[in-house]
Amino acid sequence: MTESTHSGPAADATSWVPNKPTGARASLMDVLGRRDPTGQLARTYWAAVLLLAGDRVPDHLCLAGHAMRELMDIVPRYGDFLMTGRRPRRAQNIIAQAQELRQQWNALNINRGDKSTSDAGEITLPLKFHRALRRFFADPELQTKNERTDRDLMLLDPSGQPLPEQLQADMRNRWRAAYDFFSGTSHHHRPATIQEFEVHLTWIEGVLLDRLKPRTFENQAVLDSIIDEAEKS
Amino acid sequence: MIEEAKVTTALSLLRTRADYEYFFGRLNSPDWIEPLRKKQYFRHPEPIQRTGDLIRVPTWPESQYLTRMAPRAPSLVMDVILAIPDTTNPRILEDYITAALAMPPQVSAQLAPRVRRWAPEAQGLLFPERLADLALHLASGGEDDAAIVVVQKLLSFDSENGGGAEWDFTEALKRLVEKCPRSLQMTLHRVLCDALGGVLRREPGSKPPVDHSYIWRPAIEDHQQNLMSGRRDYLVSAIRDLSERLIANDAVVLGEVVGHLESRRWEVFRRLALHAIRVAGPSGEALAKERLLGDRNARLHHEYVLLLSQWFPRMTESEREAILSEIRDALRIEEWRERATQHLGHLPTQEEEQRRVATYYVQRLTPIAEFLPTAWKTQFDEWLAIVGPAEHPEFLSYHRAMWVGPTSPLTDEEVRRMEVTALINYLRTWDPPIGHQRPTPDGLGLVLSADVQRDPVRFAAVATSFQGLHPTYVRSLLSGLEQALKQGRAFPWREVFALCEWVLEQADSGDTPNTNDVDMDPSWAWTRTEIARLLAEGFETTGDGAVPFDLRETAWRILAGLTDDTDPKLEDEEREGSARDAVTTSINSTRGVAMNTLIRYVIWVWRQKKDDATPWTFDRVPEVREVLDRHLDPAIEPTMAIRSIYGFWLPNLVALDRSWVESRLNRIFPEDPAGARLRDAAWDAYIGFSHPFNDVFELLRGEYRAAVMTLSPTDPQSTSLGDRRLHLAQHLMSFYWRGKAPIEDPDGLVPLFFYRGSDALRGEALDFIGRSLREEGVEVPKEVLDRLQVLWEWRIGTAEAHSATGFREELSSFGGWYASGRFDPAWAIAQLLRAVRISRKAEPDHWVIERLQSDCKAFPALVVECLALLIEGDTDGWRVMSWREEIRDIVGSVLKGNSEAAHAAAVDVVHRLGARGYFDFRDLLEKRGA
Repeated sequence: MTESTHSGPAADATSWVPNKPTGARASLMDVLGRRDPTGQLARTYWAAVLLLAGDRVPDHLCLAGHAMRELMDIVPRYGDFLMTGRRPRRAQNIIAQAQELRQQWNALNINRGDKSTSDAGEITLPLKFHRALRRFFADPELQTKNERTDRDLMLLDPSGQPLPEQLQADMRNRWRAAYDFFSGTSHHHRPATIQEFEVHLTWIEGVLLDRLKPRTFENQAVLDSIIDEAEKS
Repeated sequence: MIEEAKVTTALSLLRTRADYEYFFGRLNSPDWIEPLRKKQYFRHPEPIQRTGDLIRVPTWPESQYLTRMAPRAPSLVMDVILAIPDTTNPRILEDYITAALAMPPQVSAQLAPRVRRWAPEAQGLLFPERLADLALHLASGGEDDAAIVVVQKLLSFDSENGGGAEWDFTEALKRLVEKCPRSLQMTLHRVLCDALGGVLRREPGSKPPVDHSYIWRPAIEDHQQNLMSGRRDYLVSAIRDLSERLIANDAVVLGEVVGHLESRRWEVFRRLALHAIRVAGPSGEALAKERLLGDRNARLHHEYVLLLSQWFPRMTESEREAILSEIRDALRIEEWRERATQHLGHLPTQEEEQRRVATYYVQRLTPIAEFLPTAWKTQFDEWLAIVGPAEHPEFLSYHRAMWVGPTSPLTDEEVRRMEVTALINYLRTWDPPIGHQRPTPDGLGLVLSADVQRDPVRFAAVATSFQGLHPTYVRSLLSGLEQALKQGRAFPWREVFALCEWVLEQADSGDTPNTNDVDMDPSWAWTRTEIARLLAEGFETTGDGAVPFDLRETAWRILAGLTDDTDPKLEDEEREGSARDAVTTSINSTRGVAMNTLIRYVIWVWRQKKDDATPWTFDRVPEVREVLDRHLDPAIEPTMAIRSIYGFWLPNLVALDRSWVESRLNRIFPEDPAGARLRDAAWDAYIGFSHPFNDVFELLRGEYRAAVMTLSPTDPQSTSLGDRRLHLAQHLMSFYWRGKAPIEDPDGLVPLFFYRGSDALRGEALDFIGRSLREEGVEVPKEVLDRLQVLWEWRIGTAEAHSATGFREELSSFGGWYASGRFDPAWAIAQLLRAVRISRKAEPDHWVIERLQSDCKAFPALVVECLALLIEGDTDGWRVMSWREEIRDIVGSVLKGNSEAAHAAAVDVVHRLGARGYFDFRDLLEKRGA
């Protein structure tokens, strides 16, 4: 891949001196710096890159993995669609909320053995309770990992819209694979090599550049030529 | 077929939503369909998205591509569509319709079973007209069954549950009826009748055959009496129109249509049948006579009468006699007499009975009067002489709009020509008639008031002659005098004051006119309020109309009496709660208006004495000081309305006697919790209605501080211009502007405001400065600009130090400062960039974007960076839509320039716009080869 199509900087860990970012990495540093004027985002990313190459640092892969996992956690907040706010936190913890919901349910005093309910087992819930249920389950912390990943990728996309499932599935799987790799590495849950780390890092860099510094019309030009050629033949 | 490798390569390039949309929008051959299908495309229709209460109905690039390919590969496209899982997204369903319309009807017909299952969630987006088009398309190819399935789906969408807009629905029905091929018309007629029957069944209160259609649809034909207020109306029109098309010149079909309509249970179908028979003309003769000579139903009245008017002239003598006998038998006067007795409480008189009979016959016979046999005609003329001609005899009831309001027994001209004494005599003796739409005292008062306003002298000179008249007329006189003053017409006051004193005596003695009539004043209260208003005008005007100073004593006597009026009462305020604010009550109550007039009285006296050598204090008007002090005692004056007057006039009071205000501040704004409501009333009136004056500020610093302390960063955003928090923000910013409340002030009012205020309120404060800076023709001294720069740099520094959370609204208001062009351009653009790095927006955006345009040549890199951030911040896309021209101008200009950094940033902007789906910006890069 060329730099312009943002597959990430194609280089192995020993071919560059990571004191100063160059090429696509410089672009990514620049855009992360712009997205988060405090510099936290760019620093976290650059820490991962430096630690990956810094084999004199004890446990450098673990620390690099930690930085990358942190980056993947926070970077969706810096897409166009979430701005700089922090992820909304629950007003109370999940157990307290679940208990409150249970109390509300008990207060409804619905007799589950009541033969008057429909054969399909349907019961009528008061709107207030129904809304409380929806609020509870709509909480991001109760989303599945896939749902959370989809949401993060959507927030990063400049359009704020989801990809179609065919593309999203691949994107989701690779994002989660990278996240699990970085997370596992940071906790020593798995043996990891620099080469493996590089593969995931490069892929994530490409995803971030595609979204935070898109090259839409260059990509369209490439698509045009492929489509024209295919349709001619 | 496209090579699989090429498909794979192309798909690998679809990494963002924009890439995906572009790809499917760009495909121009159906050869992509199969390979894409193998790659699992056309399997996942875009669902409707919900975020909180918002709903988004997305388009689906894949169905749009299929729509474009439908004419070229109809069977393949239909095959693909039929394999797509069901969706409730109406945009996708509409794509299917568009595709089906581009296919031969035989292929499109395969969609019908799917159409039957459709249950779009946002039905309003599914255009009924498109369904009508599809039905007609299918019918044109002989696919009648499929066409009917589509029509049934169209008719099933319930407008009340978010279905197609009524207009679209009506247009769809019209199109169906107009273009339906002959072979399908009878089936369509049956389907429409089924739909109307279904609607009527759901109507509350309807029970076959009674559908009340004579109320909601007075005429089957188009008529202004028809309200056309619902789906049933449009269905009636469609059935009527289709019936007319079916029966045109075809007596056999007429019988079939009429039979079909009359087989339905509801009366509206019988009316439709009568209408069809009438419009059929001669071919409907037998059916018409049969219906006219049969039973007559009052609820079919309109269509029956029209049919009778048409056929009575052509009937034989015996047929006419039968009709007339039926009319005579239907009178049933005994039944009427019984009902009338119940209603009146006594047997109707002979005259009443005669009128009833005459009304009945005139109503029924008018449409056929011309053709009545001689004996009937003679009788008809006699009935006509009793009750006059019948208006609209073809309707059981007829509604029309009319003016209802106060009317006068005398015209303006008549009042003007009358001698005042004659007029007063008329007012004294006129006895208003009882009933609706009759002249009223209120109406007469309006005419009187207008004449007084025109020529106040002729009334003022004899004002005391109005003593003893009803308060409605006295108030009208005083109101006319007040209006005359407003228009600069003077009059002698002495007699007027005498009348006012007489009025106050009336009120004091409790001798209030007692009436329940809404068209006249219920008591003297309104007159007393009017006296206070007249005095206010007399004190305020400076021309010939002003109250002469030698009448000061009388004027004061009247005013003092009014300041003790019982209106407003504390219990009224408590009852109304927050529904009415204190200031509104103060200007709409007798004592409130009087207390407001009191201040005007002081100013009136001051105006006369201001040139005296003695310094002005309330010592010069001790009578006023006494009243003001008395009403500051909550035991005597507990209302918020009166307390608000002190706040409202505070700057004037400070100007008149600063030491008096200073010594009463703790009474005007009591600190104890029990007085909180009175304190709030005074403060709200002050902050809401007073301009910020420096000397008042110095006096009220403590009050300002207390007001700031009530703010909270979590306050909801203000939605009202009258919000006291907004006014507080504006006052403080004004004092800061003038150097009266610098940041380093010991009491720290401005820092405290920014510490306690919400993001939105702080934004309002900075926006107020921005608006002031943008005011044309106002010079802003350098020292002020320097001061403002200090404020801004403190605010932006604070925001940057706080990791930028909770400052978005505040910083976005810098847009107005930047757009004003008052500051050094280099400083301004640099600060805008600092602001938008955090806020991602700048208000007012259209001014900012225009300023960026003009700064583009001097600061290309900074301008483009600001623009990029503003585009990023416009998440809903509405603003970018409105900035299109400016964006093109800025980016185009930068791309032509020499700044390498700016050039690269501009390219980034264009790509980002593309990623947002604005593909039309692509040419900017192509033109420059960027």
